[in-house]
Amino acid sequence: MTMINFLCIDANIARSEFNEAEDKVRDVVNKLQEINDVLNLDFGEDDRFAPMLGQCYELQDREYIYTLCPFKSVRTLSV
Amino acid sequence: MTIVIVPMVLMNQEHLHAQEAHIFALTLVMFLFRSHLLELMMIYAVSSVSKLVFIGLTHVQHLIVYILSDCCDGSDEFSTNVNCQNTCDELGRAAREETERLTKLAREGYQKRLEMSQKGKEIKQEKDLEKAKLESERVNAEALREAKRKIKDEVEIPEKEALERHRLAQEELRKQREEAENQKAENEADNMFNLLDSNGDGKVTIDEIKVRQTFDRNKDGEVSDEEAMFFLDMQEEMTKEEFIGTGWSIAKPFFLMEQGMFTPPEQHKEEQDVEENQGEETDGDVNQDNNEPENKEHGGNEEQDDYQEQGLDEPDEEEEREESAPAPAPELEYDEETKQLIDRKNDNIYFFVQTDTMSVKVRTVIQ
Repeated sequence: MTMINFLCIDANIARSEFNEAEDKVRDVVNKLQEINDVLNLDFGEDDRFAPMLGQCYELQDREYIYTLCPFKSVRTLSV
Repeated sequence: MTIVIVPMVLMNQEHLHAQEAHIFALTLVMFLFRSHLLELMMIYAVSSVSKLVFIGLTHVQHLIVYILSDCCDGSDEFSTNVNCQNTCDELGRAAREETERLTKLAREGYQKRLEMSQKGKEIKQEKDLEKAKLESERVNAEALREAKRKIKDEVEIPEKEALERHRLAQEELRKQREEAENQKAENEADNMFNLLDSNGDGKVTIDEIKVRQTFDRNKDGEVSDEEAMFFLDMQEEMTKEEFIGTGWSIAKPFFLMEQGMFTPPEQHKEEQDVEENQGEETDGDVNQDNNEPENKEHGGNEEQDDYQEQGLDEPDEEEEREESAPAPAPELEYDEETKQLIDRKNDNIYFFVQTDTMSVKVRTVIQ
């Protein structure tokens, strides 16, 4: 039985190390995907709208607040 | 104020676009008022053509009427020598200011656009760099993963084998236990057969069954032929093999019931007492007159009946206990450990550390 125990410990260590490595790969791939998504966006000629990425702009007009987050979302909220 | 009426005949309106017609008309106006050409040009410069049009084509047929708000007071007609006061500068000021404002705005906007474009390019460059970095990181990470996978696969083979061996061993043990249980049941049946076979001729007959009060199925105090035959699987007699095969499985519950009658657990006895009391009370309420003498006469019997009725519940419990009792006792020694093995497949690193120290302890103990 102890034999099994030792084998399992070895296997478990190997497994956890493998999982760790796999998580790392997944992490990197995800990050890469994110960057590619950003790079594939059309920022207009000269990339002049690129600085607007991640920004949000608000406009209040009477009872509504309009929120524009370029390349992401547009929202209308009642005050 | 000047009103200019241009007949459409002067223009080849079929080929001219409305806008072009206006420009043509304006040129005509300029020609007619060439003494004020400069002022007119300024007006043209600061205002759009449409602003000069007061009544359009659709309103007056064949005529284009321009109402010009110019600098003059009406004395600037062809044949007069009145000097026109130049108010163009004043009239044009607002328009000029507006133009200046727009120009400034456009210039600022353009500046802004250049700035943003610059920034945008920087951002893109940054992202490109990051991407390149991540690409190389990905290559490395994947290489590492493949290496780890190889190690893992190699290590998993002996582990799998060991687990398989362990599983087989456990199954073997389980089989052995089952066999032992079967053997035990057979022995039980064998013993019972010997007990029932009172004359020892190797057969259980109806007469031998009828002697046993246990087989009184309808509780009338007597074992009839039918009842006896029921236990002999509707035959007159039964050999030992038949009894072990079928007879015992029929008779067993009744033996257990009998046991339950004589060895009820303490707790249940109390409960039974309470139930009995309640039963008697309600009975008494309903049939007071009839019940009382009967109770006295058959008091003993009734109690027995009660016991036997409750005895029907007993065997279930008894059986349950029989089923559950032997289960935990002869379990495999390292059942706990196998569980751990399976648990550890979840790969909790902290758990490793724990088991690792445990195994070190085990190792030292072995040594």
